[in-house]
Amino acid sequence: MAQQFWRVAGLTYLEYVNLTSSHLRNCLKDKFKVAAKNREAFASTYTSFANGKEVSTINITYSDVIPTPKKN
Amino acid sequence: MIRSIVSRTSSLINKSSVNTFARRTYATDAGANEELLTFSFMVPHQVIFKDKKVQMITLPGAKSVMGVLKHHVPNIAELKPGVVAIQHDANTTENYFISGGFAFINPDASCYVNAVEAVPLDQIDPTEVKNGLQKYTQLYNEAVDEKDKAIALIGLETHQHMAHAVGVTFSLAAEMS
Repeated sequence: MAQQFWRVAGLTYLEYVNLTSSHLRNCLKDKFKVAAKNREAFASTYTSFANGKEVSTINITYSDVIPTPKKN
Repeated sequence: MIRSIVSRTSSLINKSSVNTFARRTYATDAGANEELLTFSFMVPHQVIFKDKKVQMITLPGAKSVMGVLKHHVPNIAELKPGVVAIQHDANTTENYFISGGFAFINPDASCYVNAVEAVPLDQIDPTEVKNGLQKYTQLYNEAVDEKDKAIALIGLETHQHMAHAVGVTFSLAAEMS
């Protein structure tokens, strides 16, 4: 059986299911939406050090990770 | 709606199931003779049901909608965004909309459904669903390369399933006029 359309297009399952969950959370009524959006949010900071000094820092949040269509 | 309700034909291999088949009764015989499925339904942040006895659940499988009763063939099924309908008994049905996940139907007649998000249908806002449908229909029509089209299609399909679940109708003709 052929693969799912998202796999063929290069998305992983986690990207797919996080996208569908994000759509569902966006469509909730306001009071449920707040709690749901809190569940979705995450923030990560990657800092690399060399010789005891900080070399580079990368900050990642949910909006950076979720695939979005390119805006023309 | 495609239902896959398959009796276990492995009774020759698993002798203990022969006796349970002998006890099958008419649907009108309620009570202790009822063959109930043990059902657990969880999302990462919440246990919705744990080892709950239900009559039947209907799952939005990725390949087809499936109904699961107690002696369903063991299976691991990918679920797509859709409604999980839980029939507790002849009169009570509960519906949850899930955003995707997996269902595990085990040889011991229990079923686990794990979803990423599961909400009762009345928590979904129909106006937002309608806006989403419009937005993603447009994005899908505009998208050119395969990945953008897939992302737009995911959005479109999710909103279509939500629209079907809450009863929102979207007519392209009405929108164009």
